[in-house]
Amino acid sequence: MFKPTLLTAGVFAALTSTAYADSIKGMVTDAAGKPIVGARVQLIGTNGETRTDDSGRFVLATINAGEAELHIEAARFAHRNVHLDVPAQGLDNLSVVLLRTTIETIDVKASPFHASATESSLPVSVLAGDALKMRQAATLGDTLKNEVGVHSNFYGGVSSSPIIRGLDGPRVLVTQNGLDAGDASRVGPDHNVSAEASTATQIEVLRGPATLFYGSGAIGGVVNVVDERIPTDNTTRAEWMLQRESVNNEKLAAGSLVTGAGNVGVYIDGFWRDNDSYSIPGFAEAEPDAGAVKGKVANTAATAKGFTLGSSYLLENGYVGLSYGRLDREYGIPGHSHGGHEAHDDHADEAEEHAEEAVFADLTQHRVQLLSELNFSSGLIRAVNTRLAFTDYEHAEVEAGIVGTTFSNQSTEARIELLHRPFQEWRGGLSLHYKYSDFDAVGAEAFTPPSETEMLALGWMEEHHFGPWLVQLGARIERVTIDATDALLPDIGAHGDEGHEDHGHEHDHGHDAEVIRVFDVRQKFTPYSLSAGAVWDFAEGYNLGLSLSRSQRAPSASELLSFGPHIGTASYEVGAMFMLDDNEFVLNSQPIELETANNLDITLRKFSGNTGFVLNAFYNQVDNYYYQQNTGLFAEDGHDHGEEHSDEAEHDHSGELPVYLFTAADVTLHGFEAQYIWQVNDPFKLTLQGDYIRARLNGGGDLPRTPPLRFSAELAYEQGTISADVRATRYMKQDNTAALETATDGYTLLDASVSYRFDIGSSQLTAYLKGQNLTDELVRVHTSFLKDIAPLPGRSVALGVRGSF
Amino acid sequence: MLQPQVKTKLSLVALLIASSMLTACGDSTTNIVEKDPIAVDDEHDHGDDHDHDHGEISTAGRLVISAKDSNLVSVYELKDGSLLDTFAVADTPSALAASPAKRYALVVQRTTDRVEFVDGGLFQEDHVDHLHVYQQAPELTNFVLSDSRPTHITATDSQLAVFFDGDAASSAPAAVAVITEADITTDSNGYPVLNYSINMHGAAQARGDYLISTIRDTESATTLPDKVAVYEQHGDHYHQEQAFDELCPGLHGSAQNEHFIAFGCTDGVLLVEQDGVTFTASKLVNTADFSGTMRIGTLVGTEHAEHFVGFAGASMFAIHAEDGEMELVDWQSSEGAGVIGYGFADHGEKFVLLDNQGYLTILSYHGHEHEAANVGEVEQPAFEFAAKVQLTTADISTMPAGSRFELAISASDDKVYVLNPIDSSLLTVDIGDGEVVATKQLNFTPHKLVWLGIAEAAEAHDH
Repeated sequence: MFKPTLLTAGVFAALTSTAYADSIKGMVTDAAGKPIVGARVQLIGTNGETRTDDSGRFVLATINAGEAELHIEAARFAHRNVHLDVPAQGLDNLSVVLLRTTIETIDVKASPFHASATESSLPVSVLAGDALKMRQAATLGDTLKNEVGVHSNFYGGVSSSPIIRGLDGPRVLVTQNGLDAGDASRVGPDHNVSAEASTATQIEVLRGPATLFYGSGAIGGVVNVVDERIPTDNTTRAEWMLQRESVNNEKLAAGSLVTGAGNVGVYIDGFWRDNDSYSIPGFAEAEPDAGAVKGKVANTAATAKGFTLGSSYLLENGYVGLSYGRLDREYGIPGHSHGGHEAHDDHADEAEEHAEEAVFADLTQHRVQLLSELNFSSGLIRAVNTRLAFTDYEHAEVEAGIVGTTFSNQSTEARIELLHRPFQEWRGGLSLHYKYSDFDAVGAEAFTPPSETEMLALGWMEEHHFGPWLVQLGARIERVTIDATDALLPDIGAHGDEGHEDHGHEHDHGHDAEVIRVFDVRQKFTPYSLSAGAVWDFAEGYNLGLSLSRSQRAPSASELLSFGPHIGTASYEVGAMFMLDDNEFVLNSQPIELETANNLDITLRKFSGNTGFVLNAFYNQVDNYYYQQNTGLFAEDGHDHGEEHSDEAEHDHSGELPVYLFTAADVTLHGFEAQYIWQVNDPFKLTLQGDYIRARLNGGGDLPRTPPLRFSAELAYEQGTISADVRATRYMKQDNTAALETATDGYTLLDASVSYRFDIGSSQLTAYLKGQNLTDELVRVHTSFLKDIAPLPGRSVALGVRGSF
Repeated sequence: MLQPQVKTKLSLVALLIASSMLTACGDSTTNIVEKDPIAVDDEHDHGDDHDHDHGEISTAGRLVISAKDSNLVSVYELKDGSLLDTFAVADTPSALAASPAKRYALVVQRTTDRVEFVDGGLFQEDHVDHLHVYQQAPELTNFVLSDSRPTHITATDSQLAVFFDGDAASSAPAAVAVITEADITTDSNGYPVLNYSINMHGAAQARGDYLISTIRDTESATTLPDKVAVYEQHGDHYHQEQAFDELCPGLHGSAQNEHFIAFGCTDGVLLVEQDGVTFTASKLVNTADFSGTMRIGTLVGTEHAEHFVGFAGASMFAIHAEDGEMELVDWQSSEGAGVIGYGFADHGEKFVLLDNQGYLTILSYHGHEHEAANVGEVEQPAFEFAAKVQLTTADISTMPAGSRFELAISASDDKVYVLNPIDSSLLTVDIGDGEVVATKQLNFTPHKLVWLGIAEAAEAHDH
């Protein structure tokens, strides 16, 4: 105890011995010496920040004498870091030249470190502004599917999650303003992500392990949906959009407003979307039945609405704000099939029956967030960032007017970041993070028992510039407990495939009365994460990012405790707490291991001049990767249990599902992402990108639903009031398939859009026309659980107008 | 000098958290406790194992016990305390009741609008020359009643009237289903149903082809009915024959004996007398023993007892319908005692009363036969205090929320059974001796129970 105290005292002495200097004044220009207006100039590691005026000049007042580092960035220019030795009398005529870039650089808010697409050891990308408005879709995965390294697990247009480098579900965390989305989307592809893209200001993607900041759920990456629900200023501004889409008659209206007076900022947003089932150029089913009808994917209609209210108190040194948001969404669950035996002819009539059974989900979420950033001009703590959230989520799956299964998730989260004042030019701080989730699933298809998950974590991160090197270090230790008082192990009478055809409608097991074993389970995990990263500015306008990390993840409650039919994945899921012993499930006697990812990431960037590129390669060795292993067994889908005795519901279509067991195995994931941008001439810009991932079990075999190799080319035009783009994306054939998974053919998608900008009064308006899948391809998505029953929408044209003031 | 201290404290906190978490860095621990399994009825494998050779048939009967907050009901053999089987019904039972001849247990799931039936397996059949006794394995039957909010269930020796309250929220009207054990055994749906047009928290008493049931004014603000009518069965439905003019405001509670059907009203007890096909109604008004808002809200009767027992809160009244008398019975209640279980027991010789303080009060029932012959002689009361049995020494305040003591009365001997949810035990009380003769530890928190078995005829208490 003595040593740290001494050390702390030393730190204090070092920090307080600096004297105040006067100010730094300077000018930011482009390579031709023309002033850059509105460039952001930050004194790194402090709260000093300003913007250049109309003549490109800036003043940073009352700064400390001694070593200082400035970070200067501006739209369409590459950022620059400037090291200074500030004398006591200040600096007067600092001249900074920024070089043009073709790469969009928008700061990522999901990371406590300063990060953007061009300056981070870990690859990040940000979708914002007009690009976000043009790509926003009803579901998050579909919104982000054209981002490099990101695919969608397309679920009939009614639900989708982003897949980052082949990972999704409990490995990719979806956050809203840095706080867990608090929905049920991590346990099933048919559960919609409760974050809305149409009112977001930016959506950030952190590719690769981000457990350092976010914990177990982020071992594969983070998608952070950012909006201004807690305004950080009160300049009155508004955005709105209206759009109509042809393929599904989607009507969308969304808008947001920030305003305020004095010290108070106020935010309001709202959106409404409504769509019918979408059209396709062919049959929905890969192997259509005799009576199948072409042209539509049935039961993919959805309607959603939501609003957010927020207010903040703006202080001299930061803000404190509170917001409330509500989201309601009803959507059909296509192919709510109880079989998954399309190949078996004797089930053909069954499939048709299901098509008529409109199963839909009815989702409601309430979300309260408190965000605060407070900066302190003196003392050891430079800033305190606080984020608190409470979410109350529930969705019911409704069949024939009867609620079949209800999923609910009440979660509370708190994260406090304490950033210290730079010490020996090391910047960083501590992060304390707490998360609690009470997850419940009740009903016939409640495949996972009620559970409570609690997480407490302490993280530490620091960064330092050594000449051309930026070094980032981080560590985090977590404690995760999962409590389930009633984990069930039923005797499901699972059986092999032989004689399968006999199992249509009767089950004449000869054994005695069945017993459901009940367990009170308490799991405690102590995962840790270590990360070291560096960015080397080895030449003007180039850098090389390197990131090494070891991240651990506690398996989620559903991966451990599930035991039941999961309709969203058309499988009977059994958690890792159980194991197979001679075709019978028993309690797993092996310890539950932490999933551990050892990840190496290399990024090479060129970010100035008329051409730019970002190349990433990664190699991720994951020990104890939890995945669903096909057991080759089949079990009843349990669909009509509990209704057997009722008079009106005499369903006799009890189907069967393949049984998948969550098993830990060592896997290796590696791949690359490449992006090349060429500003051909003033109006034309060409973007080429591609990504590839290989996901293999070390013991042989491939992981299922791995995204195929993909290339795309986009030509954009922007001149005056007109902008337009055309994009072709080629998805290659995927034949690296898991056991019992089928290969998927390649396809090419052609998208295009044209926008026209005009002003009405003080409002800037944009009218646009957007076309997707213009060649009307019938496309099956390899990463979709519904590959064989729900292809991508056919040709679609959307007409919209958006405005802002 | 403040700042270094702050920093030091911060470091300490950080260290503390870090060290508490670092203890098992990268580690995981699993703690799994296996709980009692849930037995699932596999309805397809019974049928062959029905035990048709009845060696030693238990006269003690069987108990059906439901588990708290659970859809499981277990059947125990009282002879040896063994668990015979456990069944999963659709939802957590709100009540258990017995069928007329105590062969079946009604598993009432009020909020989910169902009544399921568990066959206790003990019954007898009239084989002309003898009553053939059967002892079979318990079974969850296929027979189910599904209607809105099944609530009050009344039984005679041969019929069962299930009153479905209906539900204003879903505009489900009330209904009464009258079934026999044969309907359950044969899974028949030919039983008669009285359908109302509005919902009510009503009560019905089956009288052969007749059904005496309640009527609620459509304008009424309460769900309680205030009138009573006679209905006659016509095939699968009933026709209203006669509605009595005598009002019964706030009607709640009903019972019947050989000649009378009684309903509790705020102002007294409405008595309907049956003489063949003629029904007449009269009101026995509350006596001077009633004060404030006291009213009879619960009635107990049995065919061979001349007296009804009425409860107005914790006050017990002996009601003699024929004589039009209502007398307060002193059951020596303790302070704060609330009545939670009651019934005639020991072939009608006794009346037992379970209170929420954990006492079972045993009263001897003398019927009417010992009425004072001569003026001046002290009349022996119909119900005479016999004993009070303390069932538990546990602190009553530790009763789990939503639980209470529960009572089941044997129809074959002088035993009653009490569930004690505090320690999850089942007590057997000999009401002849007035003592707890057995305690069985259950491995679940019990909720409701009912006795099933072969009833021995009660002795007639009428003249």
